[in-house]
Amino acid sequence: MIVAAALLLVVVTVGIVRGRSGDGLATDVLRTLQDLSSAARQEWITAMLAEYDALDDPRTKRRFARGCLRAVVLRAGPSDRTAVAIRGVIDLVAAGAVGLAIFGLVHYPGLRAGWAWSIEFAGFLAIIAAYLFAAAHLSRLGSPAARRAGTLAGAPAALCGWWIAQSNGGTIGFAAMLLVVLPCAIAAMIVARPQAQAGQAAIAALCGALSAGLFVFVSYVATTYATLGPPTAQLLDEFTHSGAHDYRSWAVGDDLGGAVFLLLAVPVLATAAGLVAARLVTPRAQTFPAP
Amino acid sequence: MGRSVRVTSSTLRVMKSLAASSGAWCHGYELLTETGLKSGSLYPMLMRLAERGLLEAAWECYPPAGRPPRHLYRLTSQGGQWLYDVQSAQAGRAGLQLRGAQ
Repeated sequence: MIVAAALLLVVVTVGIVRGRSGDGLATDVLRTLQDLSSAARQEWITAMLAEYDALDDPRTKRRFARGCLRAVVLRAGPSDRTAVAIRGVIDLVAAGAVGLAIFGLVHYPGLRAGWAWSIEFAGFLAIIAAYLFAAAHLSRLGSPAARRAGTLAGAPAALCGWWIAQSNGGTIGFAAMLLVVLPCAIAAMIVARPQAQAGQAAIAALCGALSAGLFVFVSYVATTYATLGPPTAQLLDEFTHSGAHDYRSWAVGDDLGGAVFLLLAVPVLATAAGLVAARLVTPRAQTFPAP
Repeated sequence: MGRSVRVTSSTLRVMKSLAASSGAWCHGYELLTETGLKSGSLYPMLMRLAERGLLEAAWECYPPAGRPPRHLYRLTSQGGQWLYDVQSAQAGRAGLQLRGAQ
């Protein structure tokens, strides 16, 4: 749900960047989604907005716009080969993420101490479900080229996940985290550049964000299981003061917490970086004063 | 027709409303008021019906000044046939039930 909320936040932000129309939030989001959608969906959103413009009663207009927004958000558009491929990649990596989490719970019994782990695991599954929901919709928005570029740009995050796990959260780890978002920003710039397509760049950034978030998680957690991270003096000191008895479970639990943080933070950072980068290369629309 | 269309009371209401206009174009809000559906339910249904060729959509040719053209809908011949088949089947079932009760 957090990813879905972040997605909605991004859409609203794009709407605000485009300029509020004074017609209400639902209508602004609809107009933004119109820019981001494929041609077939664009026609339907245009139809909804034209109907909205024909209504007079403000209350009826608001209710109508809310219903239309719900219809657009909940009904995925027509699928194509790129959408199927993107869904395949995201579903596979998401399944890998869930598999790794379950492996951790089985292999390190210390992680299952108390009852809090079940709530944390349910929260993790909710995040993964939100990723899948967002991917199902994003994979059908915008042009295939934008979606492909974004999803591919998220893949190098796997390398950064390995690097972050190796660095045990030091300065290099933070630098690696920033590097996760760089390919997403570049992909958004490339997509935005030829025809000043800010909407398509946003799709590239969002696809990159989803793919980067999952790749960084899987890579980080797999590296943690393989190496347990180098036990630095600081880590050993923290372990001594934690009161825990099993270093391996404690270290893995700590890293899994970090991995879930990455799962939440990377999409937000990657989307923001992509949108800012696209904005930088997209020339602002010229405005002419009314005569 | 390609894919089949699930017969729901909402789908029937929309199809009957379009059939009642006897070939004239209807706009979205007109259908909303006639069927009592909400926009969140009506538009996905219109999209599905159009995808399956049961209704056709077109843009208003001469919109009033200062307003964008509206999307208009009407039944296709396939849509009319589909509605006729569904209503005939329903009438047949009702007749059987009535005879069974007698």
